[in-house]
Amino acid sequence: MQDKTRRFSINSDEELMFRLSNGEEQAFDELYQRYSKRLLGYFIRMLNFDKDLAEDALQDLFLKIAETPENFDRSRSFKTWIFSVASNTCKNYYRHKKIVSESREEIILMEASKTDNSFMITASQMDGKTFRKMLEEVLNKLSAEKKEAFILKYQEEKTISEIALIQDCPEGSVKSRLHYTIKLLEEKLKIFKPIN
Amino acid sequence: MENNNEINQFLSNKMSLDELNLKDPDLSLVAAARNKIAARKKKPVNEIEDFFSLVAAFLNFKIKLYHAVIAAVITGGVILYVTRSDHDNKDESRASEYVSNIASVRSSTVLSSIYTFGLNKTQDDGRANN
Repeated sequence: MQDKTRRFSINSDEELMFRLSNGEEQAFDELYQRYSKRLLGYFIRMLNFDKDLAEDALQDLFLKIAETPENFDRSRSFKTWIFSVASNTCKNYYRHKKIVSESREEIILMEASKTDNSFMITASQMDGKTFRKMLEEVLNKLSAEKKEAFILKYQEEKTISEIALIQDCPEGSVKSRLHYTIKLLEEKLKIFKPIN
Repeated sequence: MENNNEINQFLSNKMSLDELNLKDPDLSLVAAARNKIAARKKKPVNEIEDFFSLVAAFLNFKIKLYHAVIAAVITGGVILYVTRSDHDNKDESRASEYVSNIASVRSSTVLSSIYTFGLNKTQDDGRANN
């Protein structure tokens, strides 16, 4: 099967979707190879680090793509489109599986000042495991939109305009969502700040 | 600006997929999806298969209200048409039957025999009186 999918490796995502709508399984396999790991990571982080739920969501997403490949909007980039579908899958999980963040209340940030060097100093002094744990805690406390913007920006390295397209919102909203999350991380890091 | 870039780089590293220690998801996870695609694949069908699929489709046919209404209207129309044409045919056959009856009555000897019978009877009655 590896050899069969090889012949599709030169095809663009959009071409693979066209082949998929003609019932070519190998095109599906190639798309799965390209995106499954990234999407699993996205779902794990979006669904409060529940790996089983993330795998279910991944299955649902690829089932949706297999069932109705014609839903792919050819005027859009596949990379943006697939994350829009993933975003909607997450929304369904939030709705039906009762996934709620620990605190949905907006945390009032102490100040709207520019992020200073202290973030980098403290963060780089922390060991990787502690920082990861703190990051997980912060992500779990965020609303779905803020969490998604953060994951798309830093895991998927999408641009602000791409995130705005996926989230179907103005770029300004994406920027403020990201800013909020970084400020929240900064607040959390203050606990670890060495006392001078 | 430089500080922001540094933070972005730092967060990208911490948010990378390697940090999650994920393995590539197994393709068997999406076996159902692959089956769906296989089912979608257009395959050449011979006439017999086509006929049976047609019969199967007919048997699986779900009747909706508008189907029933259309069928009732068509059936009603056909019944009305058939009964009306039947009625017209009956009228025609009755008329021709009437004409032939009249003709047969006229041509028969019954009427003349009735007349003769009446005449004979008055003659007999007259003789009896005399």
